Amino acid sequence: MLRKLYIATLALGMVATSAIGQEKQLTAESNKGGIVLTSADKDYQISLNGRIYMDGVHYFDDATDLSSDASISDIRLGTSVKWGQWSAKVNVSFGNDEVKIKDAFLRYNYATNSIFTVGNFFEPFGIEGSASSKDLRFIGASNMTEAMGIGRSIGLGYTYYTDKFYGSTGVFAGSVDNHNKGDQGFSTTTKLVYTPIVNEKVTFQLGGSFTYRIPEANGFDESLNDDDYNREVVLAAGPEHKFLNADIQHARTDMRYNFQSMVLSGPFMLQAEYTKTKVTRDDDYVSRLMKDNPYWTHTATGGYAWPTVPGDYPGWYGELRDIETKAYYAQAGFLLGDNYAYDSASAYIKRPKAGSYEFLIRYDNTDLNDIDGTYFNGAYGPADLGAALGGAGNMSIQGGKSESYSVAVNYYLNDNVMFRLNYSYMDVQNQVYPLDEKIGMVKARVQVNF
Amino acid sequence: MKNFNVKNLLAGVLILSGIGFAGCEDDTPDYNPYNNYKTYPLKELSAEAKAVRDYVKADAVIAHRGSTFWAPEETEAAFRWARNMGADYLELDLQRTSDGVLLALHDGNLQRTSNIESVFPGQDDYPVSRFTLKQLRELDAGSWFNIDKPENARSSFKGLQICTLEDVLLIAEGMKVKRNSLNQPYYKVEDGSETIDLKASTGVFVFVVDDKDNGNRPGIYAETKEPYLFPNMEADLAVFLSEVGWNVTDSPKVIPTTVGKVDVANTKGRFILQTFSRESVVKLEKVLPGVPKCMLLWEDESAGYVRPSNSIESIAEFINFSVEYNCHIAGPSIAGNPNKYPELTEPWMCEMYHRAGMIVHAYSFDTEDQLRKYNGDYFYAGVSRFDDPARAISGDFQYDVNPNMFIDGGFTNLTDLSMKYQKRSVDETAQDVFETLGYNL
Repeated sequence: MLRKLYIATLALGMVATSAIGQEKQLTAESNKGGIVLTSADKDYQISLNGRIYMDGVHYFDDATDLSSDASISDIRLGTSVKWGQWSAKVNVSFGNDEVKIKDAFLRYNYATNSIFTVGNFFEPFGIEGSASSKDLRFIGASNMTEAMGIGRSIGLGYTYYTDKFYGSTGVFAGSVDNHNKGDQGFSTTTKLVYTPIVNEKVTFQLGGSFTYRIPEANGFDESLNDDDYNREVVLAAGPEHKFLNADIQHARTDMRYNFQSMVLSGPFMLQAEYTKTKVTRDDDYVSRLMKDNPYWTHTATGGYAWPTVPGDYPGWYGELRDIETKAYYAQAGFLLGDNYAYDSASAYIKRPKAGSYEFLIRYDNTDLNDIDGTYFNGAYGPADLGAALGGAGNMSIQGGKSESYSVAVNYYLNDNVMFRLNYSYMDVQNQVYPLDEKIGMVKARVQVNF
Repeated sequence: MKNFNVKNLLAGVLILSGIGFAGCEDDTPDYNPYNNYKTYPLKELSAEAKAVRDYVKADAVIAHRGSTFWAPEETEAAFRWARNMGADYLELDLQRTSDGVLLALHDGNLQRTSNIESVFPGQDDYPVSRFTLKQLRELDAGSWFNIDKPENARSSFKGLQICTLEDVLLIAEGMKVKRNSLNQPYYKVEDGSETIDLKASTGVFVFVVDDKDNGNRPGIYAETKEPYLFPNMEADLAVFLSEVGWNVTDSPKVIPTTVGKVDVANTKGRFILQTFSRESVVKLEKVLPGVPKCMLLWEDESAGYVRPSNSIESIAEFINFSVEYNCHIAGPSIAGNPNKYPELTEPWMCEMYHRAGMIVHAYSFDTEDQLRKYNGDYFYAGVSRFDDPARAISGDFQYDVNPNMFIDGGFTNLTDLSMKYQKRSVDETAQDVFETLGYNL
């Protein structure tokens, strides 16, 4: 429903834009490499924007073969329109032969620092999770953000900021990428950042984000015609999402907490985030029991029936308890040729000036395991060995653990072009890939945006 | 576009292209069993466990349920035949009656291998554990075979009864059920006397020395089922084996043997435990340590185990578990007609079983082709190791073909065929053995 509302609103906005455009004489000019058409009274402005990511990655794999390749991982074209206090943006990605709607929203600037947004846009969660990939320090986000960050959703948001305070909140109703049948999800996400020190010498920031989510339906369960219990949360990151991949089925709710901190001082930067997730789970045991009927079998002592009550299901297959995962990273940067500058509108770092080099190191620790059972041949049994050997199940989630050490160099050729080079060493532990322990990867990117 | 630096742009392009080209290189061997079976981390049996493993007779011919091909399985006829044919082990499946008697029967109920529908109408799907030994002795466990396999039917199979574990041990020791001239069995009575009236008896057979016994003394290879079906049966088995002198760790009795004949019953490898159940093997290791054990492997294990058993991870996990609980023998299934079981005895799999110190007893053999395949003859130009122990590999397979890639013994439905394959002498043909034992057409 919200998706339809947003499309209608956006269409109306565009029609209005055209109408204004027909009445006013526009002047073309170049701004940071892009073309901007501006009306004489500066009240109306339209610009074209785009992006190209040319990537190469080479894996030094351990046992499992990973696909080293070169690719155009993102091509993006879009338009931004601004008229008075209103603005709109449409941005479509064509990377890797897929067409995806990215930013697509209508925005109302109630005041310079008080903004309402409706459409498809980033949910405000963490530092990396709310930032565009072009502004990230490394090629791609940390494993923490890749696994637990949220990205864009369709919704309505409000952002308020001052020099020292940044607050953003919103209600959202699922992703434009979800084409499964069943009800869309719901989420509410809030980010609050306080920057007690902001001056030319030092910027110090602390913040936190919280999101409460009902995951999107994954289609209908065929036997019960039910979408309520067919929802999943997938937390995945790293090379081909192999070694870090937690697929949490039967999800009911999904809560995530993020704490962030950043220090900028001249050419030095420190940034760290911690994220914890908690997914509650449930299943429709009553319907399953009604469908199955208690199964009777003869035994030495007379007879044995299973299941006889809904509680027999979790008793045998394992309880669908809450799943908790956690991750954090810390990174440090050094700029050669510029100093780090803080942007209070985004609560993040401004792009360094042309000709700057940036050197970075990062440590990331991502733990997608929540295990309380005994592992046998690809599945879990209860912690009690006897029960596990008897064949009972356990609903532990083994998404893998990793520690990653990364270094990066960025060269900002100008306002539109930058070169990136990353090396990461990933120490992985995943029972699905028992032979893989140490993965190395070199990534390079030529990044163009205008 | 000020500060445009061509040198830096070129450097960037070069880095990117270099990585692209490097990406085309295949830097790591493919992750498949064939590249990893030799190095995949495995636990290994301890020296103590290996000593127990060595109790087991080499190149064991294990008579699967006595025979499923020539006679009604797990009956006196099948086991007497297998003994006289020369099998090293008589294989059986253990179940327990409602009055606590350990029984040799494969299926969970008696529908396939008896006339239970007629004897106990409406109870034909009941498990064995619902009946007493006396009730089970009312059943005809032989006639079904004559209908199922008319080409191997014998009139004397009619009326054969279910065997207990004790019966099979006594057959292995050279005994047979005492019968009258009408071929009716004698049962023990509470007061120590004998009777042919089942109702007036305990249901336990009376045994006498088998006048047709040819001196072979095979061991026993007994399979326990999932413990939830028969709680504490492992403990019952341990007590029983000690009582009858078949527990090798507990003053085993001397069973007289004949030189030149099978003598396994008088060795420390006289009794081998086998099971598919991990729960059972843990219990067996607890109550019968020091007795050789075989961990059987099937395509999919019980409910909680989702990975197919033929992956390298699964094989390794199976081995590591087996080693942890001192299973000396891997018991994987083999492919091929007539059973079309899953293939869990590929050369690389056998190499892994052996690397852990285990020996391989695969199941179950019905054809010469299977015997040749799993003994590796096709790598040696069709020459069997029983023809030529020093046989040489014929052909350039470009990988390390070696004796560790093949089996050490097998469960066979045709002991006669396995004996012939191993070039072992037999007294008579399969059919003649039946005639000698008195099982007439």
